[in-house]
Amino acid sequence: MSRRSLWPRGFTGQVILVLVLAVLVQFVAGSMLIRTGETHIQRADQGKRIAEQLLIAERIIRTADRPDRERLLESLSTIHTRLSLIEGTPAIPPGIDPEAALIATAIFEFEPSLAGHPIRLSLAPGSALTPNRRLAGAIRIEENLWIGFATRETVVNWRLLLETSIRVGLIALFVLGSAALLVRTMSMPLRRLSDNAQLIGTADRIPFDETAGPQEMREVSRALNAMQERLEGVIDQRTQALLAVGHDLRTPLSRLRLRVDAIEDSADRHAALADIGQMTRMLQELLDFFETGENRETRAPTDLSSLCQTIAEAASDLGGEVTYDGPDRLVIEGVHDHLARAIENLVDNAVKYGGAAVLTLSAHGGERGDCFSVKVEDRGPGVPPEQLDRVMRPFERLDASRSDNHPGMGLGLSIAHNVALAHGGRLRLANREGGGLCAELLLAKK
Amino acid sequence: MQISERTHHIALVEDDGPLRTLLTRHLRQSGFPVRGYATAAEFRASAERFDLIVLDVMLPATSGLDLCRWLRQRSNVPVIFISARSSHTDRIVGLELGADDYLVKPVDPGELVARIRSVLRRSEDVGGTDGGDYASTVRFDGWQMDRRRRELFAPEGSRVSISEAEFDLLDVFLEMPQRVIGRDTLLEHSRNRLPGRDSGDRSVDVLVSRLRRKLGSIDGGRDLIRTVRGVGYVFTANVEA
Repeated sequence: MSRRSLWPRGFTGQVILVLVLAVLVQFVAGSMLIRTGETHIQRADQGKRIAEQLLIAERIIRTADRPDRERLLESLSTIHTRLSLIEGTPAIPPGIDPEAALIATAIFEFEPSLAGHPIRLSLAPGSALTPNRRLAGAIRIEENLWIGFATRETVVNWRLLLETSIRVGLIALFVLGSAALLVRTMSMPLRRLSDNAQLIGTADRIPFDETAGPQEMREVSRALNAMQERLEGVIDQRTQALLAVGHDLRTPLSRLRLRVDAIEDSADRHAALADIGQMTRMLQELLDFFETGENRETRAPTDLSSLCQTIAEAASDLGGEVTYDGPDRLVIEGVHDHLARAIENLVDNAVKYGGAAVLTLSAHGGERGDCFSVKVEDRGPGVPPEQLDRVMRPFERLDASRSDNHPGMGLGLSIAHNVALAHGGRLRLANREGGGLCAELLLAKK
Repeated sequence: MQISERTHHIALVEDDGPLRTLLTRHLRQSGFPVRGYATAAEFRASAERFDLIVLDVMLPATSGLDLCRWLRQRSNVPVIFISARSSHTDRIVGLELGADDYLVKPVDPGELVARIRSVLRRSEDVGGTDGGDYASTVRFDGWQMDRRRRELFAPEGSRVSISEAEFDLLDVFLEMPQRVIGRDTLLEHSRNRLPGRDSGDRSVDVLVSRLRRKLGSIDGGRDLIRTVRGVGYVFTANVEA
């Protein structure tokens, strides 16, 4: 696939490549034009000089004595044009090639008095590499008397052409550079746009600026905003439907609870009450999941230490061995109930699978301490490494936990993850050395 | 401080018929005469006076919240919400309207009766249903406790978590500051007992030590609860309503 390798993938690369090609074409065409113009000017210039010299030579020859003529002509020679006296017929053939004819025209245009004289011109053959051609010619003064002339300089001034080319090249380079700069400034908002678009669906709505950048970019921003709004509408609708079902189920569940309560004491009554308890918890879990996902509660200063202590103590009272290790006070800007739910879920899991847990609270992020860590470690079976990511997803459970011993909807870790995200952090799961799981909530202080 | 011996009349506003019947039956069995109403309008039309009102939040037409607002403009009769909504915001909205408690469905029948008794006792302590205003916010030594929301705030404003049982214990201390309170009294008033532990003095001691630790994380807080050897505890700070 050579086409793919030549054609750059990036926006910047593509635009630059097109620009380079355009500038190159312009450069070549420009050079050719300049060269043609240059040649024309030089030809006129050369013709003019030859004409002047020939006119003077002609007048001198006519007035001078015959023996002096040759000497006088020699002295009229310049470094550019050498003059000589030719008696008889010149060695130059009478035919004139088109290029030389143009020079002859230039000579006669400048000195019309020479127009009556026959002229012979020839250009020395040039090669492909050096197309400069020396001019040689002769003009007849009278019968059997010609003034021969030969230019020493080349027809085309290559130095001038080179200088001009360099100048044009520099301009092209400058144009290219500023174009690259422009493309970069154009591609920057594009890159920002794509970076932001990557975030759609991960957190709150990502606002795209509809008033900045070129027109097309604004339209893309508008489209993305509209898309997000539609998506949110769809998700919101679903969530509201599920929440409504969740809420509505609570009334019949209340009735059931009261009816079962009226049954006389039996094993069935206990089992029924346990079932109702499980359904209640599952509903709560579902509602918690949506609520923590929506992240609409206002954040307020909350003491994480007392929160962790209270959760550890409550779990211990229920028979789990949960110890708290951390400072007596650590204040975070957060949603108290959501943080409590997240930590409770982690502790519940640890007690469920490991029987005991250590709850460690600490401040991270160097001296500023702008990140807090709530770590829950157990000595349970842990999670197979390839499933560590999976268990954080909603409704995902390890096969081993789908038994009656572990009722629930598999939302515990998802809720904790939601809460961590809403608090500018994340949930990190890792297997511990020597067995067991370490679940760590990372939370931003503000 | 038992509830007085007189009977307390309760109104139940709940639109779900079967649930209303079941709850009415349960409350009657627990010794409360109950009148049930299906809508807010029906309740407002009745001229009866009640000692406590159990209100469903989601009612057709006029919501339970609106009815609560209406009630508060007229009397201080205690109100307990029962609601299908469990979010913090819903709870706070209910309590801010002046409700005395907020329970989430499905309501544990025993829990409902316990809450009703607790609210009735509290309202009688401050002099009957139409008497003085029950202070929902109490201050001590810079701390602030919101009784309705059941939230505690440290002097610099951050929310400090305490368990329900610790909250009840602190509430008792705040009602009787600078008085020696015996372990029995504390135990009696704690609505939530410590599960899984030997009840009695030891559980009170555990609760007090936990509460001390949480209050004690602030300078000077450690001395707020002083032990009186062999008797009980004294809450040392001044309490302002």
